[in-house]
Amino acid sequence: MVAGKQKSVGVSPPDGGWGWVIVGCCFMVTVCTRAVTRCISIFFVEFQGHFGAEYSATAWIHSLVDCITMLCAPVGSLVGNRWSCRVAVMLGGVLSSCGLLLSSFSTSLELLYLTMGVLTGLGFALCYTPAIALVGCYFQQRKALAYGIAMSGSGIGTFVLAPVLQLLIELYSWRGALLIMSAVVANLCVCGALMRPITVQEQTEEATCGEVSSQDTELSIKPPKETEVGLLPLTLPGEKPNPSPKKRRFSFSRTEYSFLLQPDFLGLAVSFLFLASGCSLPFVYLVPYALSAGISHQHAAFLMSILGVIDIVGNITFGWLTDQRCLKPHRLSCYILSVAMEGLCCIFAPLLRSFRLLLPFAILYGYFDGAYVALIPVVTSDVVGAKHLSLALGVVYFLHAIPYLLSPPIGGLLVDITESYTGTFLLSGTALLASAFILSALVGIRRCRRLLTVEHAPLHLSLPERPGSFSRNDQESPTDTS
Amino acid sequence: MRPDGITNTEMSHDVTVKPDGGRAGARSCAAAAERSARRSRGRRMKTMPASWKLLLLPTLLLMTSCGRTDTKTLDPTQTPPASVPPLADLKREVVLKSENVTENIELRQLVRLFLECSLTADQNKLPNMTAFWSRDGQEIPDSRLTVALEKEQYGIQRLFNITSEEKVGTYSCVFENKVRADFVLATPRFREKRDKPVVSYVHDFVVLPCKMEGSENESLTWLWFKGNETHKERISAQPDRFEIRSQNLTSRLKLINLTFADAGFYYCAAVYAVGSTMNPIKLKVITFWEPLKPFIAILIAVVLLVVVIFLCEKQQSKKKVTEGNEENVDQNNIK
Repeated sequence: MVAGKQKSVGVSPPDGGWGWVIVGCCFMVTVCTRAVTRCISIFFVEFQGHFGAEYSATAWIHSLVDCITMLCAPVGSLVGNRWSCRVAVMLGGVLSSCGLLLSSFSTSLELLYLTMGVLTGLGFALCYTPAIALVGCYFQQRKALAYGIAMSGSGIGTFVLAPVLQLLIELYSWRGALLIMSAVVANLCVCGALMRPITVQEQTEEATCGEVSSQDTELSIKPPKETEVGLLPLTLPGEKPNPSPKKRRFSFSRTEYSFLLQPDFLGLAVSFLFLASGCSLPFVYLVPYALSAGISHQHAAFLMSILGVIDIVGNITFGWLTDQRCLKPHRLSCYILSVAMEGLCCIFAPLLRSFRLLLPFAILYGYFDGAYVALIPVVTSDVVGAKHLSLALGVVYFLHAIPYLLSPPIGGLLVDITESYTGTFLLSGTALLASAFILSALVGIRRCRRLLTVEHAPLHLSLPERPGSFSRNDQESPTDTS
Repeated sequence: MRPDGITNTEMSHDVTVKPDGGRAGARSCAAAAERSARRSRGRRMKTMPASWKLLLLPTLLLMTSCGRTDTKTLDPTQTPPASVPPLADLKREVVLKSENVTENIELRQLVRLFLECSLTADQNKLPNMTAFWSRDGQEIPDSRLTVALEKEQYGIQRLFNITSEEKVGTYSCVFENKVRADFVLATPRFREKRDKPVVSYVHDFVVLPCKMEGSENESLTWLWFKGNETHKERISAQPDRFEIRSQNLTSRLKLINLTFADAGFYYCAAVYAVGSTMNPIKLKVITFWEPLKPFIAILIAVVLLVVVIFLCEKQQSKKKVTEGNEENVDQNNIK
């Protein structure tokens, strides 16, 4: 909330108040985008019957929506950064609503690819990233919990939406169901309207979230050098506080994407690539694997529902956990731990060949899957800072796109060649463990470098040593109240 | 007096229970060929293309040897399937104790049905027991027998030639002490029963599917009817209204350019030599106005909410501006 009494334009993140409304909006955005994407597969049976198509032809729609939502995430974050979050989300809502509306009148499968795949995917991309970025601006102390609640929308949304969609299809057939879904997705506009922009003050400089950036200076996130330290902890070279009114810049600024070249972010990006390659495979292949191991259909379906429900639990509880004072400095380690645990679960999965053994696997895997999903925006914001969070998130989700698209077919190819699911689960487990390893290696290098700089300049460093986080810790200034 | 059928069935005992015995050999060859093809495909991933010729040779040998074994297993007494299909043999036996037993038999073709009932003797252990066969509740003439106790059981057998649809019914063996076994003959049932109606829109097209369980190379005749329980009308393919596409175990009826008159019950019938089974599907035709009502309602709610939110925000910012102005005025006054 803009405080009228202060002279400076920015405020510290409210960590409550209107922030919870923003969390609710982000929850709705996640429901309307991720949950709807997951539930699209309910329509496939109808499309197959109506258009006489095969399963693989209809499955393309889901892949198109998922892929385009992630591929166009940078576009969404750019629009959110240039104009405002509000504009981006409302525009996305209108686009995706139109896409679903047009697809309800579609007369062929190809037209469905265009309307339901491309147009709706583009609309979702415009909504998803700006909404997540805005939550990061409104929260500081309870960021992980806020993200956990916001991201649990995909799990809860799938849970609620799946039977509702079934009912709509029974009452109105797929055309009517798509028509009503387009009205439901139009609620994204309401969420967008509620997303008030906020100007967040980060110590002495400002970062406007959801409005046009007014900063010109580069935000460097390297460990503090000797020249800088001495003013306030974590100030930057040659920096002047600039409270003047916003300047509109329509050209691409090098400074906006400067975070891309930092080694921290590059390491994070590579680890996300591996993560995205490994994380989608178990969801796709758990049920076929369970059926091939002799488990009944009902038990296999129960495994999937358990996975979904525990996912939601993991989202919220892990977010709350990592917000506690004792765990907050170790947030990155918690993230690495959850990814590594997931990888270990996948590696042991081929050994579990009964329902009693697969149930703990589903519970553990679901919990840690929810855990890391809630932490992705937190970890990203820890690395790049709140100012670049929107653009960084766009790049992060863009990196998810191609592995999401390629890894299920590659997993399927492995299943066909080896005629067992061992290879697929091993691939998924190794990709997740590789992702965790890369990040832990980076943390290790950071720590070694910091120890070296401490040795060289012992007098100047006034920052408390915070192991486990990168360099720019959580922007917690000493004046922050808990 | 034992019926002649027993000696016949003893001879053809090896071929019973699998009515399509000749095809079993071909199926196992095909499975073996498929396995080797899969293996060679896996090998192909790792080896160079030059070794494909090495893989072709054994597969060709396999195929030719399969062809030869196929002709060997074909019974020389059986006529080739191009002409009248031979009656397959089907044997069912039931052991009775003190309660009646009902056995469902699924018939897909004309069969020679060999039924056997064995009643376990009770404490009395009478040396002889009379029993008879009945069909659909009526005793078959000349079927009453007196059977002797043999190995603690009274056994009775009979061969029935199910050569047409009229012969399909319920056959029972009834013993003197009123214990009976019912063999219910029927054509295969549809497993997926759709209790919810299929919904479609005026001027749109709709596809009604029917699927039957069975082996993959079975080919069925399909018929479609429209009507109700009592009166059914056969649907023939008219190019501007109906389109029937049948393929082995599935059949699809496509209704083009729907009108309200097209609503109602449709029946798909899978036709076997021994009869046909019907599956009802209900079609409901609605206009686009039906889903449009909730759509418009939700849209209006969305637009209203957005307008209200923007108005509230404008009011709040106006209030803050006036508050700020008042403060400035106060500060100026103080100064």
